[in-house]
Amino acid sequence: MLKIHCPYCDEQREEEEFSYSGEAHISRPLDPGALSDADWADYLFFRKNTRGWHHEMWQHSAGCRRYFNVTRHTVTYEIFESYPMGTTPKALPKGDAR
Amino acid sequence: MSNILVETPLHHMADAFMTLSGGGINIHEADMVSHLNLRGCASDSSFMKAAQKTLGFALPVVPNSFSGHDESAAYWLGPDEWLITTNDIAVEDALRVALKGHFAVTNITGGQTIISLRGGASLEILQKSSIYDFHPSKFKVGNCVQTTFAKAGALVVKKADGSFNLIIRRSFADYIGRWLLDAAREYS
Ligand SMILES: [Zn+2]
Repeated sequence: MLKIHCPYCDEQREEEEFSYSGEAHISRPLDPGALSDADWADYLFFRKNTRGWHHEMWQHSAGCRRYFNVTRHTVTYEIFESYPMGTTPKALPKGDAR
Repeated sequence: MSNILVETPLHHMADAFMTLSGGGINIHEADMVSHLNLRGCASDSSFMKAAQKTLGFALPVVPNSFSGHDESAAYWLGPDEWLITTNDIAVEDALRVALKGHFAVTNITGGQTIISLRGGASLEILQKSSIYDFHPSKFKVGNCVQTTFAKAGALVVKKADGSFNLIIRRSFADYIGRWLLDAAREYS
């Protein structure tokens, strides 16, 4: 069970209150019509599937219902930080998770 | 024309709640009040001032807190979202008149109901039904929290007299009512 800090409620809450929403910081192409099918498919479906530190979106679905970002290690599950939408993450921790 | 009978979502459980009450726990469903969802920008001072003037108290901006009194209250739901409960049905129109610009007032009265939990056992009932930490050192008078109660969504409120209110969805009311009857049995 993860304990996740919601930057809006400003509290650590149980994972049960949250839903996972995939990789963060993927921006929608400004002119989708100009994209090739391959590029559009890449935007829609393909993710990095990182092993290690990962920026990802979570929604506080049973709480304030806001989306926010979390930096989490996909092997150890350690959470480095959570930060609101529209803000930039801190520099990644050096090396592997503790 | 005959009068329309107003029934709260848990009117059929009132007797069961009554039978159970006494001893460590007192459960009852609150009388019907208006529930309004209010959206607006907390950093917009004209919005905040107009809301305060209409309600008679300021909207809470501290997460997980509420303001107001027994007749009317505003609960923090998010950085730009509040729940207002009031027994004055004129508040909805008054807000629409007073607020300007980018805002939304939505009447959700038909979708929610309020259950009051009183007595020494109410804390234990909350603790065994929810994943949130309701210990009095953390969850104090003036706090409210949106979390899960028996896996259903609930807004839990700690009132000035130490009792708790559960503000829940109408569609989950029967389920939560039955859960409470079962959870409270050992204390009655
Ligand atoms: Zn939250």
